[in-house]
Amino acid sequence: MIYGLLFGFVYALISAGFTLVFGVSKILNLSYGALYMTTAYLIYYFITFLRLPLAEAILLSILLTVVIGMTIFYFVLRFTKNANIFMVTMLLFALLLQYLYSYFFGGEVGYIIPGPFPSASFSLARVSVSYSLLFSAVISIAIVAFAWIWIEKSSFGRKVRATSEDAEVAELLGIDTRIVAMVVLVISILFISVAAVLVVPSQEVTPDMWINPFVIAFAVSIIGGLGKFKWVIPAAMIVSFSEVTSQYLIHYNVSEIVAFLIVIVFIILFPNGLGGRGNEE
Amino acid sequence: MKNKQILFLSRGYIISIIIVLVTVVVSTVIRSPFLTLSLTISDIFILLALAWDFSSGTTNYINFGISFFFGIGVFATGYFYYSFHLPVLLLLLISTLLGVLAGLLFTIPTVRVRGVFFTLLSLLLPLMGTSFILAFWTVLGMPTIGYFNIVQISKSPEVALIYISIIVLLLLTLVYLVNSTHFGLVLKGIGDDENALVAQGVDSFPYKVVIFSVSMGIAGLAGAIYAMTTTFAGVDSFGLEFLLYPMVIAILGGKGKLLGTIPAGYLIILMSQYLQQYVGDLTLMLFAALAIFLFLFLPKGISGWYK
Repeated sequence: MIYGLLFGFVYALISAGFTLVFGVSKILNLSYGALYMTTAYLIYYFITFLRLPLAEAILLSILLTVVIGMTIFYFVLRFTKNANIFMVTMLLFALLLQYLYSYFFGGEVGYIIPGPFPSASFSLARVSVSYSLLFSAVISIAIVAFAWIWIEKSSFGRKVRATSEDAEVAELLGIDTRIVAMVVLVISILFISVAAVLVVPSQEVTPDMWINPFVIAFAVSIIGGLGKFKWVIPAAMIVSFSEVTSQYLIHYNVSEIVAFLIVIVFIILFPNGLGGRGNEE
Repeated sequence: MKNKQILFLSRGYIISIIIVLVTVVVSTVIRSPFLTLSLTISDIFILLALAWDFSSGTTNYINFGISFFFGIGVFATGYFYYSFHLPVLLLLLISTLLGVLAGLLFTIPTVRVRGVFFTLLSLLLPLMGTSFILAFWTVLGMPTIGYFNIVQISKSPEVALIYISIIVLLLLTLVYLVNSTHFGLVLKGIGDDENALVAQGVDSFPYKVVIFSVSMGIAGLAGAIYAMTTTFAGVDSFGLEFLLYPMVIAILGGKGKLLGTIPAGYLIILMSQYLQQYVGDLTLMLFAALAIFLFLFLPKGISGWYK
């Protein structure tokens, strides 16, 4: 139960950016998971090859991930306005990054690199795994809560909400929706990047590691309703609790299937997610 | 105008048949094992691309799930050969039927949702496919590494290629015929404007279910052939390259234009097979980049230029 709660916070951080971007731009950023992986590989690279201190490596990696993510996003957006083509291309970029990393960092596709993160990198991680989890969960929930308050209270947050409700009207009211979209994109990449910093030390860095956070982000966003930021936390809780429970009760590998089934049920019963009803007129 | 369209299509059809026949002749004359293998793999990917284009190219419901059903075909072949030692034909049939069945299971609940949501749901399949199968397999107590020494279609790879080519041609004809009937027209309607189609009193749901199940069946069949060609069925067969290549082929051949698929398929797969010799794992990366390029700058493919 505690695991479910803690993972739920981390999942909320992973998914927040995904749903935020969809809310504002009505576009799904399918390279989202790949950016998570990018941060992980960059940290690995900085630490092992350039021998940077950890804090520096983390900061640089997050910064570079934002740059890379923005570049990909605007590069694709520059050439296509078709939502389908955009999605496919973003997914292809995710694949491209996967093959790139597997080529430069290790072996064939699907080959698992043993955990390159020095355990000393996180002082709490060395004591106990659950401490590091606790630590990540606290940071995650702090970030998500801060973002939530920021969106609800600040004037820029109001612009974000206006844009995600109706971009055209927001434009008419004098809001520069492009800037809003860009800021939100930066924030979303920051989220996934920080999530990578928090989660990856307890995992391994492999070329297909982007799939798991992506699936989580996707499931949470669907359950909470795409683009509805305040439902991210409850949705993340549903996903993490069901995963933990099914892992405990049935089998370790079952958890993803359970997540998938929940998503299908939700898509059929509540196509707008948990937050759907409030917004229907 | 309409006649011209049909003429163009039938010319493409004839060209496709000729290309397939030429590959068979070349492989029997040259008898290079590598070339024959490459051609066989090209045929398998062409089947996948046909399946993808048949459903997604015409209806515009982008389906990322194809590699998952391919993997099901591969695994089913391995399992049924090992457990029951079934003959080749029966194995092919079972894999196809399982593909159709899994396609039905997936399509009936999901195809009601449109556009982005369907795409995302189908994307979840290949992403989680490996753990799907691993979970089922470990719960059922099966070997998870894979099955070795699966029966081959024929002892001689050249003869196997002939059989596979026949399958490709049969399916090509099937797809070609379907597209020129009322059914194909409805599919194009779904792709162009589904709301208009529904407003005209056509219930698009059964059409979508049928088309997706059939194309998943084709993917299963391709999986079975792949398993028999490599004589190995493992978790690898759920890899995303079985999604990447068919999509590149279908887009290069022209979305919704099934007859560009054959030349595009041989071009892409032969190229990648030979590239693999020189640059190794860089190939996949190059092709992902190529796919991005194609999607952004050339979404109409070869037949887009041709017109």
